[in-house]
Amino acid sequence: MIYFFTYLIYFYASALTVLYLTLIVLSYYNTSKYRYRYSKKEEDYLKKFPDEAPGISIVAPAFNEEVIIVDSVHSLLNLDYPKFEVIIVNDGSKDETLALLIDSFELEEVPYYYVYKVNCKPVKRILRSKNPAYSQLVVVDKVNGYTKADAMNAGVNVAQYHYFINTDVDCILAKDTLTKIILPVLDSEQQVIAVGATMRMVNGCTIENGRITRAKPPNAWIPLFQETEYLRSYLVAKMGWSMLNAIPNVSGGFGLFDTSVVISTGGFDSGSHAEDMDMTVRMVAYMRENNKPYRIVQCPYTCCWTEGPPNLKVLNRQRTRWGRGLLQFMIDHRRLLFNKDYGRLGLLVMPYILIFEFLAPIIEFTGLIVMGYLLFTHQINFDTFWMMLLYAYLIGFTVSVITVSCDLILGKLYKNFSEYLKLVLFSAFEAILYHPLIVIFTLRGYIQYLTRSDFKWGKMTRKGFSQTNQENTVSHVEKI
Amino acid sequence: MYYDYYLYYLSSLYNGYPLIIRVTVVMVMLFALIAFFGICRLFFTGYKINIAARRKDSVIKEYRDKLHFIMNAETNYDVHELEELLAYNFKTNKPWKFELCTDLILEVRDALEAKKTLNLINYKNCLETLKLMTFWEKRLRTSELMVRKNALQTVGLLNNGLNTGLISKSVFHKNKHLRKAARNVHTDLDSYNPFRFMEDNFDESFTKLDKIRLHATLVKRYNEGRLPNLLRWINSSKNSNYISFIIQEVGFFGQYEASPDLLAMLDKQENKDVRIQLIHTLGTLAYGPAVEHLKQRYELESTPVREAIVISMGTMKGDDALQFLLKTYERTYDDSLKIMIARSIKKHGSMGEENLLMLQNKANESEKIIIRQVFAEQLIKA
Repeated sequence: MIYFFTYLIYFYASALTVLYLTLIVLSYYNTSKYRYRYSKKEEDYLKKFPDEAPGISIVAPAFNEEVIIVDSVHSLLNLDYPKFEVIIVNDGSKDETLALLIDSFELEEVPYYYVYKVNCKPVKRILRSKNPAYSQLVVVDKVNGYTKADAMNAGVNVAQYHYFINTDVDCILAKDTLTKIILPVLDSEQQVIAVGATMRMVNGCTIENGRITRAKPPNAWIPLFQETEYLRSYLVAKMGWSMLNAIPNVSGGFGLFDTSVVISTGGFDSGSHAEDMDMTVRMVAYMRENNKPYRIVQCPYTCCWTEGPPNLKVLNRQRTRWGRGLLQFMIDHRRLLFNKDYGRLGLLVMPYILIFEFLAPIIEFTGLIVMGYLLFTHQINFDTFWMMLLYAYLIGFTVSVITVSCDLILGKLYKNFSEYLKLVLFSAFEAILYHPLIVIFTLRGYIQYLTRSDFKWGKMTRKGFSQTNQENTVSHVEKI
Repeated sequence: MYYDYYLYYLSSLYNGYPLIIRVTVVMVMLFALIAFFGICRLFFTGYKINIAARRKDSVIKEYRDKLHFIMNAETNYDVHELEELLAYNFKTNKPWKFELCTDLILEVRDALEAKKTLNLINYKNCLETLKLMTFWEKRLRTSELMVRKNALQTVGLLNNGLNTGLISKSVFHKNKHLRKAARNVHTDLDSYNPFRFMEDNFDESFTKLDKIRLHATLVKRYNEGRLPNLLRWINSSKNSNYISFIIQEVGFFGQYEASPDLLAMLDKQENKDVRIQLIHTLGTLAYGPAVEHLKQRYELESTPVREAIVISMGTMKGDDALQFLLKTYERTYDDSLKIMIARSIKKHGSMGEENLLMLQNKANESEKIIIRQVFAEQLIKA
């Protein structure tokens, strides 16, 4: 049994190696192509001919976000794009979020015939600004729905444009985000149903008036590890999958979606713990079922900055929720697995999620236990043990080095080169210090889901964009 | 060196081990090499970025003020005078210097154009003095596709004419991105037969981004002189995206004489998207005779086409259109469409507003909100 398991682990690691090497090659090719295809010249066309630019609705739910809400909305309203609206969904906040919005942006209730195109908790009122300077701002005040998905649906119902951005108020978008993210939509012969982009950690950056004035890697070790993890996921994995039109997930932190397709699929599922992955897969399934050609594209540029977990407690909460979401997702969409009717979704994306995302923590944890047992019973051949360990370690480290290199090729965001080296240096310790925690937290999420224990999600300690000392605890409580 | 020695040592160390172990040794070496080259590449990229930033700073420092002065001057300078004024050192000419000078000259030109103080003669003489056109024309012949595409776009932006013989290979290249860029530049800069590709479906691959690029080109051509009747370009086309684009441009450039043909096309056209665009363009052109026709079509059409009809009725205006909208409003059960109709009614000026108020008086509570919303929208935009 042990003999069989050691071989299983070995071949699993080798399959992962082959997969990552393939993704690296695909992603490198895709990123280079992307860089040349969409230059500043393309972006300038949209600015010179604003009437030709497709409109984009930015939907950002807010629940007890009084610390950051004003800066966040200012930041969103100052984006450099000719045609967009900002929809803030106040999801029944119990703090001063709504009052601050009303005061800062001179909001008043307007008559609005609210059409429930997708399901959400009742909307109390729609507020718009008396000040023409904020005419792009729409605030939806609704009854708390306990989930981001419910709040997103409320925003989607109001969105007037053909595309919308799914983001959070704690995210800071780069000024040229909308131009960057719409270009692949405009340049595709097939309908682009969703576009993802690279996200990074805002911890450590200098922010003034809701805008990043100096990008820096985080100082705390957890967000720093997460930064490399994010970059690997966006720049290598998703850019690679994008070449095959098989992106498994457009992130819930930032992503552009086709409004009509989201409405046709019934909107975000408020019962889902992984509403982003669930939405992506349901959109693809919808397109396949209706024989409509589609594309999901990944933009390599950093368009969104988000606050990473500042401590172990928050990391635990975040990853436990992701773990629950993943298990729930696998159960909910099991019919798609190896289903040839869904093309590459059924035969490539779902098996990948099952084998390399869902099973990974189980296999890794079992591997650790087996290794401990073998060490204890002196069954380990140390001549080859170190080689195997080095092999497993180098897979992760090499991918991280290439990722940081790709990121630098796309443009130098950090002022000092040493800050990139810091990412590389920390990635060398990721397998030892960070990854085991992720495995444990994810498994905890699986167990929580299976035991249906009472849980909360989304508690996040906000420090505010303006770097004040004021702190605010946000809890987006969900119970099933 | 001692590579061989270490290689033999390593192979002897694992000689006799199972295949899996030996494969792992190879994989570890491979990964170690990739990681090493990755780190080297990181340093190299960092070095290149720093060098590029320094070069850019030096070019800006040396030429920005001079170029601004020359291109802003009322006096026309010839090439010899400009050589002296710019004091450009041709001995240190490198491709990066041409690229940076091009970016700089375009930046200065755009800024002066916005202020309407650009001296076009001096701008063109600057291009000649710095030999920028020669550089980019040479790049048009390079075998690297992306470099060639970039050169095509730059030549288009420089807007200083082009011998289109230089792009004769690119306009039929198998790479669609290069081919489309070349065809766009041909339409933009050719003086003999600029609309050659427009008459021929432009390109089999035609995206929304191509629409925007071609729109920019057509606007430029329109500002230089009159455009031909655009409708003749779609006679031979079967690409619905291209047909829709041309119909949209007919409306944009106000080619009112094309209206009867557009109306005739509406009966024959089977593609829904093209029909929608035809209706929108008829609305933009405010073609009165289309109202009766659209009224008849309304009942038979799908929702997206109906929406187009409702929007067009708002731009066409007139009593017929208003009466139609009022009747349709009362018969419609679709809330989204009702809001659209109310907006179109409102576009009929004071007459439309009076009718909306009448509708509001006899409406139920939820419909009253629709009408109040439409009135409020105008206040928000103001």
